[in-house]
Parts: sequence; C-alpha cells; structure tokens
Amino acid sequence: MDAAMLYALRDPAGIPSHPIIFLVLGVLTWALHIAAVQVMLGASALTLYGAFSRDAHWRRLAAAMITTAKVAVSVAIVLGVAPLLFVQVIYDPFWYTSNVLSARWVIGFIVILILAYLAMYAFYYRNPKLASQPTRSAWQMVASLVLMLVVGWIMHVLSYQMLLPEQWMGWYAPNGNINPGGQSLHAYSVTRFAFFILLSVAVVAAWLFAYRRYLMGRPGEDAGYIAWLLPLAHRLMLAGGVLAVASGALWLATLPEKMAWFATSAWVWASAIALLTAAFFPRLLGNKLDQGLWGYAPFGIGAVALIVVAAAREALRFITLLGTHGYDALDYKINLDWYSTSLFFITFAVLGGVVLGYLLTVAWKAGQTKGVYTPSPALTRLGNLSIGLLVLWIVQYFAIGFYVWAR
Amino acid sequence: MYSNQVIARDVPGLDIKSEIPLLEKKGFLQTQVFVPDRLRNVNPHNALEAGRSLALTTCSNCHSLSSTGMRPLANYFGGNTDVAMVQTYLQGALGTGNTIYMPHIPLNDDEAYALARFIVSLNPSPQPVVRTAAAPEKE
Ligand code: HEC
Ligand code: HEM
Repeated sequence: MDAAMLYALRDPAGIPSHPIIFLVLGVLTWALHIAAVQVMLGASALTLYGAFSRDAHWRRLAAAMITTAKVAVSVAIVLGVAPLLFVQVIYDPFWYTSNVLSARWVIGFIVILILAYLAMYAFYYRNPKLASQPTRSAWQMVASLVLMLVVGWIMHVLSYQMLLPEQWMGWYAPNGNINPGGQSLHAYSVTRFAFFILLSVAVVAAWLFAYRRYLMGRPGEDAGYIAWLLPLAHRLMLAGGVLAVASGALWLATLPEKMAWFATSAWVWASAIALLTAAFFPRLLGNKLDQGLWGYAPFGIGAVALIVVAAAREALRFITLLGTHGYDALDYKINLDWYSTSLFFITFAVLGGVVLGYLLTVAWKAGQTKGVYTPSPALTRLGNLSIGLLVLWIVQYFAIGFYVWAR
Repeated sequence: MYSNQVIARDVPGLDIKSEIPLLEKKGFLQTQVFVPDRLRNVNPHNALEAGRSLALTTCSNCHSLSSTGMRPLANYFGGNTDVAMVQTYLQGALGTGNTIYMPHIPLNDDEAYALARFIVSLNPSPQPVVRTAAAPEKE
C-alpha cells in the first residue's frame, strides 16, 4: 500500500478545519476515554474482589464501586465517541479500512458492549445491599468484566490494524483471493493491550484517593472505613505503578521493527516520567492528602499523566504513518467551515462548561450534605443559565438551518 | 458521490473533480485501491475473479451478491447465461448512466466482460422477490 493509494482513500471533500485541531482534540478526548475505561475496569475488579470477601470494609467498597463502574461505563462510551469522530476525520483511510476488514467484529462490538452493560446492571439489581448481604449471582459481574475486556480488545485491534497498511491487502485478499467477509481480527499486540488495561490499577488507586477525600467531606462518615481506604489506595498505586512500568517495557520491547524507534523516543521518556510522578505523588503528599482539596490531586495528576501517554500513543501512529508510509495526517485538504468550527468550540467551551459545571457542582455538593440539600442562589442562577443556553442553542440550530434552506 | 464511492460530477465549491473521465480512460481495476494485483488486468484465467472484484467494489453496496438480502444482483438478470448479452446490457445501460436509480458506471470492454462472466455465474433466488429487468414484479 503506497502513499498514493493511502491518499486516494481520503475524503475528497477535505475537512472543515485545520487537521491539528482534530489531532489535538483526538488526543485529549482519548485520554479522557481511557481514564473512564480504566476507572470502570478497576472499579469492576474491586467490586468483584469485595463481593467475594467477608470483610465489612471490602463489602462496603464493593457496594460503592459497582455504582462507580456503572456510571463509568456510560462516561467511557460518551467519551469514546469523541476520539472516534476525530480519528475518522484525519485518519479515515486507516480507520475505515481497519473497520471494514473486521466488519463483523465492529458490529459485534455494540452487541457485546450491550451484553456487558446489561450483565453489570443485572448484578447491581441482584445485589441492592451488597455491603450487608451475601453476594448473589457473582458470575454476572465476572461476565460483565470479561465482556468489557472483549470490547476493549476489539477497539485495540481496530487501532492496531490501522498501523499496518502493508498487510491490509494480504488480509483482504489472502494469496490474491478476495475475502470480503470481515470475519477476522487480523492483528494485535498483547503487550500493548496489557499496558493500557493494567494501567487501570493505578488509575483506580488515584480514584480511591479522591473517593476517600469525598467521604471525608461528608458529615458523620465512618472514620474507620476512611482510614482503611488509605493504605489500600497506596498499595494499589504502588502495584499499579510497577505493573504499568513492567507492561509498558514489555510493549516497547515487542514493538515491530518499523516502530522500534518509539521505544527510545522522548515520547516514551515523557510518559514514563509522567506515570512515575503520578504513582509517587500520593506518597509525596503524605499528610497533605487530608488537607483542603489535596485529596483530589492524585486523580488530577493521573489525568495529566494519561494525556501525556495519549500524546505518545498518537506520536507513535503519526510518525509511523508519516515516516514509513508517507502519509501526513496534517496535510489534509481544508475546506474551512467557520460556522461549524465556531459552533463546535462555543458548544464545547460555553455550553459544556456551564451545563456540566452546574450538574457536577450540584452532584458534588449534594453528596457532601446530610439531609436535604438546597443550592445557593448563585448556583441556582447557573442552573437557569444552563437551561437558557440550551434553549438558545436549539433555537439557533434550527434558525440557521431554516435560513440556509430558505436562502 | 455515489455510495460505491464514485464521484460522478464536479463540485467546484469544494474543489472536487468528477472521477468519471479517469474511470473511462483507465477503468476500475486499474484505479481502485483494493484490487489484488493479479486481477488488475483481465485475462481468460482471471475474468471471473476480476468480475467478482468489480461487483464487490461497484455494485455490492446496493446489490447483494448472494440470493438473499438487498436487491440481489442475480435477480435482475433473470438467470440469463449469455455473457455477451449481459455485457452489452452493462455497457449500454450502466456504462452510459441511462438506468433509473443507478449510478453512471463506465465499464470498458474487458471489465464489462469480466463483470458479465461473474453475473452469469450467480444463481438467482428461486422466486424473484423484486422486479427484474427480465420479469416485472407481479403486483
Ligand atoms: C447506488 C446504488 C446502486 C449501485 C452502486 C448499483 N445499483 Fe443497480 N440498481 C440500484 C437501484 C436502486 C435499482 C432499482 C431497483 C428496483 O427497481 O428494484 C437498480 C437496478 C438495477 C438493475 C435493473 C435495472 C432495470 O432497468 O430494471 C440492474 C440490471 C442493476 N441494477 C445492475 C447493477 C450492476 C451490474 C451494478 C454494478 C456495476 C449496479 N447495479 C450498481 C442501485 C444501484
Ligand atoms: C466499554 C468498554 C471499552 C473498553 C474496555 C475500551 C478500551 C479501549 C482501549 C484499550 C483502547 C486503546 C486500544 C489501543 O490503542 O491499542 C481504546 C481505544 C478506542 N476506543 Fe475504547 N473502549 C471501550 C468502549 C469504547 C466505546 C463504546 C467507544 C466508542 C463509542 C470507544 C472508542 C474508542 C476509540 C475511537 C478508540 C481509538 C482511538 C484512536 O485510535 O485514536 N471505546 N478503547
């Protein structure tokens, strides 16, 4: 597959804004996606561990983590759509080819995800009092976790096949005989997948620090439970750091030849430093963890580390496709569309900021209050503003559509 | 752009050129990306396979190549086994863009022959479920 062919697979209409915008947003949103995925996987695993334990603290943690996992799945899905859109804009020759070559799995992805999610909910409904009653139907949670990993595996294969254009023709037409069935997952890297999945341990540890800090803010919480969480979070963070470094090193050691440069690149060093900083940060903080909002900081630093990792992952793709295959994702033809570009950023920054800010603040404050929570007047104004902005958005959307149609 | 990815006219606003002139000059097998090298030139040995490749890339997104599914291709030819006749039809109707609902699909002699070979090899479903060129649907 030479460069001319790759370029021929591009969308001839070009893209509505500069490709760098799609590239950067792709990295940022993918970091958020994988963070949510890792919280979900980590919380699921903790749920399972707690569900098989008799220890009262573990059981309470399991009850909290199943609700976390449940929400994290939907966040992971929503935040999976964004990088999906960005990657298919600037890497369409690669993304679509990879998808079509494994078409049945792409469709199966949705079915498997639905089953995984249903299994999780089934477990949740079977165990309304996980903290105090024996676990029922634990197999549902096992099934959910396994199916979620299958979903992640499909995503991994789709991302990985993109990087191997030299093999596409062999997959489409083995020995020159066309097989358009899309039955197979053609290429994978167990070590790469393991790295992204095992990172869940450190991410869920960071999450536990934040969870603990959150409980500390609630009047009348069980101090014994809060104290029990701390060493657990520390131990998981340490284990997670070790696992991430070990699996990351294995991934780098098993890179195919054309990607071998990546192993010693600055991208890897930056990622390693970011991950290690995140892993040691809670220890550096020490007692500070219990002061002010510092208890949330490990998760914040963890998120930054994930952005660095996401950037490195993108560099691997960008440079491999440019260097080995002559495809420059940044020279995409631009047909600048000011309206959609500005609408996107205004929606993202203004509506996203105000509406999400309002919802998250209310959720957080309500959780920190015992009894009935009444928002402050300022917060109520923010709520009204959110509704106003949403209405305005919907009106302008149809108004512009009507204007364009009537013109 | 048609759903078989062929751009059939210029779109000056987006700086898009029609691909029809290129296809008329060089053909599909030479210009499509996903064609195995041994099928890029039609010869008596590979005509059937080349025809399948053409059907996959230029027809199959609208016509199923099996006897079930959406608008099975075989059903539109009513079991016709005359390669030359099918080839003439393809070049006369499709090649000129004169078929209702269907894109303009220019096919040179070799490609029309290969595609006709492939179409003739298909088995139409026993009971045509759609109106065919040969037998109008019974109301
Ligand atoms: C963009 C979609 C599309 C593509 C691509 C396409 N067709 Fe069709 N074709 C249609 C539609 C729609 C009809 C009308 C169906 C009906 O009337 O039942 C049709 C009808 C036909 C008919 C019957 C025509 C008639 O006059 O009754 C034939 C023969 C046919 N297609 C052959 C082909 C072949 C061969 C190819 C590939 C070279 C092809 N089509 C590609 C959409 C398409
Ligand atoms: C819920 C279970 C899911 C898991 C465990 C999961 C896991 C992963 C993993 C591990 C990767 C990285 C693969 C690699 O680079 O090797 C990935 C990438 C990706 N995921 Fe998910 N994912 C899940 C759901 C989703 C959903 C529902 C979507 C879309 C709606 C999605 C969209 C993406 C996209 C677009 C990428 C690749 C982006 C790119 O290549 O730039 N994921 N996912």
